[in-house]
Amino acid sequence: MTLSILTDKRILVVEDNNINQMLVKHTLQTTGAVLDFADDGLIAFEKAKTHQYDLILMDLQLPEMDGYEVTRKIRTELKSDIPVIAMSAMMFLGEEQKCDEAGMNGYILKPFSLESLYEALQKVIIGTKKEEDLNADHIIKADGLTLDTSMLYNLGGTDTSYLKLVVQTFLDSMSGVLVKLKTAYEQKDFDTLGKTAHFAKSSLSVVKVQELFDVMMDLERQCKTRTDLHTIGEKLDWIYISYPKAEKILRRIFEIPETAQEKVVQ
Amino acid sequence: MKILLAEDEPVMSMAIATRLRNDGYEVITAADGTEAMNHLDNFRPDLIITDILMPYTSGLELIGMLKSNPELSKIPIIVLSALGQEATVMEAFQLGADDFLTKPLNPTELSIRVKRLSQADETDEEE
Repeated sequence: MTLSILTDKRILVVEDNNINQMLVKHTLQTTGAVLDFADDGLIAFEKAKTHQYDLILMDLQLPEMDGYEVTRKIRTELKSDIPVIAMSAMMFLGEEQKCDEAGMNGYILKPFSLESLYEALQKVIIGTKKEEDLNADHIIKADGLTLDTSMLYNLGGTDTSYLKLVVQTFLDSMSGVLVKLKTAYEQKDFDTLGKTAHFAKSSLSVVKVQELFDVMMDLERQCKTRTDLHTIGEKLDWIYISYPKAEKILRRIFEIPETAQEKVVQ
Repeated sequence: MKILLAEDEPVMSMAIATRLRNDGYEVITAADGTEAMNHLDNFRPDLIITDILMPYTSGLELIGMLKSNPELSKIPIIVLSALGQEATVMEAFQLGADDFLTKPLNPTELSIRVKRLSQADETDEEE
């Protein structure tokens, strides 16, 4: 099970603490899920009545109506079998059984990681498509790289001229990024290097070459925290070898030829 | 509905603008806060979406300028933040931002949040 299982799924997060709401949003923000929030049990029930969700993450201690009661009402009054996963700071003896009796499908301890959420989701079937089907449409693996075009298509549809324009803009932008990264590293200017990696990461979140995205995220973090700076050189070497491969794949898929000027520069 | 999008990264800017135009909105883009303010001389948006980290004038500075101008202070603002920018997002809220989206963006969430703010704005006008 991977992150893509939650892409475009509507999740209702029932949590009365604003900071915990932000933490949940932060944790789930890479999954592609659409989040809605309710900060008490009554609102949660009303939302469950009037909105379609694929999953509910339910705090247990809530104002107005606790998580157990909300779940019971969802099961009995709404006759809904929507998956409900309890969130709790700690599970006391007998709590798991209480969740089960209320009609919940599982629980996770707060603050939760994506891994623990996915473990809890193992018991719940979400959607009708198998994971391989969900992934198949937009993932291309080639030359040791993973290209994910789902964001590109989600943001812009299937208009070919738009897609070509975005990818060309990406290629133009990245050629500048590579130069900036090299110069900043040579000058040991880690502030600029970090900002450039941040900038590149933004582009790579649209035209997603997973491995390049991951390494830019690492570079940004390393420059910000000034840790493991001795590994930056290796990462940059990897980028200079891998990016041309990514570029080749993108040009092939989107039928974007190299210009004469680009050939000269190389 | 008219939207002003301030985002310095061209691929992200193009991708967001296209999604919003596909949703039926009129979108003007700016590559930084200064350019965004310049657009406001001739273009009065119903919503402003701004990145936080931008050259010349940052998203936070832009929000500050908007909120201190009586003609512009009521325009709702969505900030675009990256992972690890929670403190800056809180600062944006304190300055008057109305909502935030975290990059990498969920396109459906973008559409839903923009629609919600536009509906809230219409309700305010009716009242």
